[in-house]
Amino acid sequence: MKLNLLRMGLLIILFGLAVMGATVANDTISWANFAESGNVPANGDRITTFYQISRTAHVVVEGSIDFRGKLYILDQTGIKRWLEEDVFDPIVTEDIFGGLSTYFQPPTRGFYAFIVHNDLNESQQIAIRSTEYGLEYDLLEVSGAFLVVGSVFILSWLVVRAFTYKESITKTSMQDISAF
Amino acid sequence: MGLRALLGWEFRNLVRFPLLELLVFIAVYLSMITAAGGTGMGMTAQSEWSMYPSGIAETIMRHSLNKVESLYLATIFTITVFASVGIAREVEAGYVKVALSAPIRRRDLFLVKFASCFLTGLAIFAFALFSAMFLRNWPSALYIVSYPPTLLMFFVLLLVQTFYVAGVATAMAVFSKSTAASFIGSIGIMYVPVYMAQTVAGLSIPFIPPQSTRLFAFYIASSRVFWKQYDLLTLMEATAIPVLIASVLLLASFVYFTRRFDLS
Repeated sequence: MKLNLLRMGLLIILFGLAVMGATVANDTISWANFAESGNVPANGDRITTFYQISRTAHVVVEGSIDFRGKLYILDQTGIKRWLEEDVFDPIVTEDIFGGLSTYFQPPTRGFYAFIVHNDLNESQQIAIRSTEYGLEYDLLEVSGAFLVVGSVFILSWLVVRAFTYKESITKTSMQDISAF
Repeated sequence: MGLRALLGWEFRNLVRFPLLELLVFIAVYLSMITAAGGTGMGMTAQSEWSMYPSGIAETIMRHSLNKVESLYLATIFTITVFASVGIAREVEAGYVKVALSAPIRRRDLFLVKFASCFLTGLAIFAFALFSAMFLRNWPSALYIVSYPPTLLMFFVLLLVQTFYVAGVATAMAVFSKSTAASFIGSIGIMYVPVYMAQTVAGLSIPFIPPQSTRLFAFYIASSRVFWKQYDLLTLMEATAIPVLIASVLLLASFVYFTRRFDLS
């Protein structure tokens, strides 16, 4: 029982350390998410979806100098509402004047849709790309939680061991006294 | 001693401190590292929401399948350690002789030793890979669970790779009867194809891992594209041949261990 608590604690701590180490190692580099180019129809949309955004995303939209439009970002709930109930409720709305460079901090890791809307009455050629950088804080929090849980297991083992040791000392002392 | 008790003893022998802790750390770290999306997982926009859950599950699965192959070296290392410690070292130190002096059949001892190496290795890597998959995609965990065939195929891919490694490592441990020779020999034999594929273009061997795992993963991920590039023979090579090689080696080592193995 005592041994199991200690080994469980060690395993959980090592699991947390592995997750934390891998997350930090992964996040030292930025990831290229997507790069697309194509036409946006007059008064229409170009939809780019991406799974998954987990870090801060740098989104760049490039168009001709007279391009006017908007960038909308929808999360999973937003996409669902848009497709099922026809309710368009983006979490981010940015105006595009020729081009755009913006930063998007996702509220949670997941699936997001990037929609470029063309306000003009003629189709436009645009390019959209995104890169991710920064840390995945949710994974760091999870690994931290594993470290805490593992430490609790080891502390419990120490407490159980201390009490068992104390009891055995007391018993031995009582035996010694009764021997006299 | 019953088969179950023997198996329990073998498991305890293999997962003793700090071997299990170290291997779990390595497996989880490598699974999390390879799970990171350097190039990301692209997904096309769907016209209906009902298509998204399966689309997301398939995207995660396609991305995760490559990790099985990337864990091949770690699998070789882990199972070779198990086979060397659990089989070759025990033969070398005379523990097998002691075990066989008890009423234990050689057949049972061999099966238990192979099963403990194979199952412990499989459990560690399955745990690490599934943990990484769920941790990296936790908001979509329900979507993943909703499509069990994809999880099952992922597990089958890992199973085939691990069985091949366990078969080769067990045979090497039984025939060499030496811890050092078993460890170096197994890693050498199984690392050669990796080295060849990395150094000389076009020299990869399609019927043994890691190339066979890559082809099998490709088939699972997108069978339609697979059939455009390869034929049925390639698929058979990638799936059946590694299992066949491991089975033949296991059978040979089983016959050797039960009939010819000299303990004196």
